[in-house]
Amino acid sequence: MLLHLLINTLIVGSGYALVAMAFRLMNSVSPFFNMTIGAIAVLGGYIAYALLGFGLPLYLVVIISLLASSLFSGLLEIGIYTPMRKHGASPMVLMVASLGVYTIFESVIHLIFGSQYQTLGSISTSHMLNIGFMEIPLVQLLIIITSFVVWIFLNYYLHHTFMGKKIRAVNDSATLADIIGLKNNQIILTVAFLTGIILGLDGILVGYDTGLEPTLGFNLLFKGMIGAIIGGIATLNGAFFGAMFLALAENVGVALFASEWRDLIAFVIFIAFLSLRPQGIFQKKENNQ
Amino acid sequence: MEYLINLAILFSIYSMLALSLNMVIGMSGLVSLAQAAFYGIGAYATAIGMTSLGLGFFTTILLGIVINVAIAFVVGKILARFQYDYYAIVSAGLSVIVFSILLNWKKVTNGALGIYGIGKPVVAGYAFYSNSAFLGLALLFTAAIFALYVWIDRSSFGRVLKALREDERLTHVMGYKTKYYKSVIFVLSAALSGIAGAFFASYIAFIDPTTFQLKEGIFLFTIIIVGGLSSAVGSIVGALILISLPEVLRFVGLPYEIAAQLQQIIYGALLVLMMIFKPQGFFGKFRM
Repeated sequence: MLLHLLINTLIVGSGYALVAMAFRLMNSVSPFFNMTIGAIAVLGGYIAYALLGFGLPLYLVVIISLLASSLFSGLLEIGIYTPMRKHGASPMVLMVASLGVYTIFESVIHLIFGSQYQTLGSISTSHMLNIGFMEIPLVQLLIIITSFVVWIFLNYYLHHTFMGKKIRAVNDSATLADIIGLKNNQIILTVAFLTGIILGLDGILVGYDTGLEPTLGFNLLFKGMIGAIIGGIATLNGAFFGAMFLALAENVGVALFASEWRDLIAFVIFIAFLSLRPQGIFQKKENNQ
Repeated sequence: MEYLINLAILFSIYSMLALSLNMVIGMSGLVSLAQAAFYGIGAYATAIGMTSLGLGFFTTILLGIVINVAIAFVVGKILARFQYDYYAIVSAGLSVIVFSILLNWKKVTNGALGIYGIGKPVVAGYAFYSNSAFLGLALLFTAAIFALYVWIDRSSFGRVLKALREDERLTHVMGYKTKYYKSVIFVLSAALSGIAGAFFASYIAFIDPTTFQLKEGIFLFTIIIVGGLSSAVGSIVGALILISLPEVLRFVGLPYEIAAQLQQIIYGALLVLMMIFKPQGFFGKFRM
């Protein structure tokens, strides 16, 4: 029972962690509550759905979908948010604009693909893996692996490559980075592309696991964002472990009460953390507000 | 004619909501996305009060106000710790929590099935069954809320709110208890949106939780962004524009499903365009 709960936490948490890390990464160079994070993932999932419908091989489908979500992410940043920021838009204004973009996106997806649930395929039900005491679907194992690989990769990328150093420099102070001659826009665009790929992966995996619907974007966004914030938005590891913690808290809550209270539990935890410990679980001091 | 009256009733309900939301967002600079929650609580107070408890319409308005004041007082205390975009995100979270309770507390709210058969207001034996009489009553309340808005806007209380909107720390330093002012306007606004909820429940006669989602809060926000932040007239104009927009689309002859999505696309585009070109709205005075 306890082991089941932990495995399930790992599965759910890994899904949240992918979005949480993407949110954190994007937020580090483009600091506002970006409401379109979930939409980028959903786009990746739906493109994969459409391409699979045309009968393309899986590896091509994955590559094209990831390119599409990455491009979408980059276009939003370069086409809308960066120009707005350049004209002095506050984080609040940017957030509202991204809310508008999300609303448009959701309706366009609705018009093209309809409102019903679509799943990418049946590997979730047909491929079960026996890990001794329980069976878990292959796709859920893939979610766990993907999330850990992305986590390790990003840790390496941010701390051991030149681009990673530049990203952290912009995160520390965009003005200073600009003064010493870093091309901030180029760095932001790189991060947007990278975030798009991570989110696209998440979208495809979610498409295989639970299925896609137009309104999925807000769900993905909020869980990822809550994970990132309760872990301490200022670090990548905070986002990763915060997402895991959120999944654990939700699962314990669901085990104690009922599954329909999952969202309520997540948001209560979110507000409790922002009120009582705004710097997150893993941060010592420094208030982000 | 009946069609126009129907539109006018919706317009007046949304005007009440827009005015009360503008007190919080426009006048005081507190970007709350939780207004749909208080709207919903007001509607449910009337629905439950009139069906299960057998109360009259005006008693249930009072009931809704009392519940909203109590909840808004607590919620306002939580929100008072935040500013700007954090305020917006936390209030959005609170909206999701209230929606989740309306949806899942089945014993009281009947869950996703909603509540049927909500009655009409009765004054001294006269029941407002005809839509035109109902419209009259709704407009009366809208006018009262409009007057209240203008009165607060011109009062010293409103001036303090506008001062703290521009610079909360400075206002605090000058000796005003900004937390108290923020709390009072938030509670007042919640109470007023409860009234709008009561009218909605009584007019439609059936409510379910989906009407009071975060999306509705964002829609109300769009109304006052388009109309104008911190402007009573702007609130009304915004409601008028966004309530008549779907009807225009319907007249063009689009199928319902496409029109509904197109409407959302236009709302979204309005938000983006307003943010890029005129973040304070057409008639607005406050720039976020």
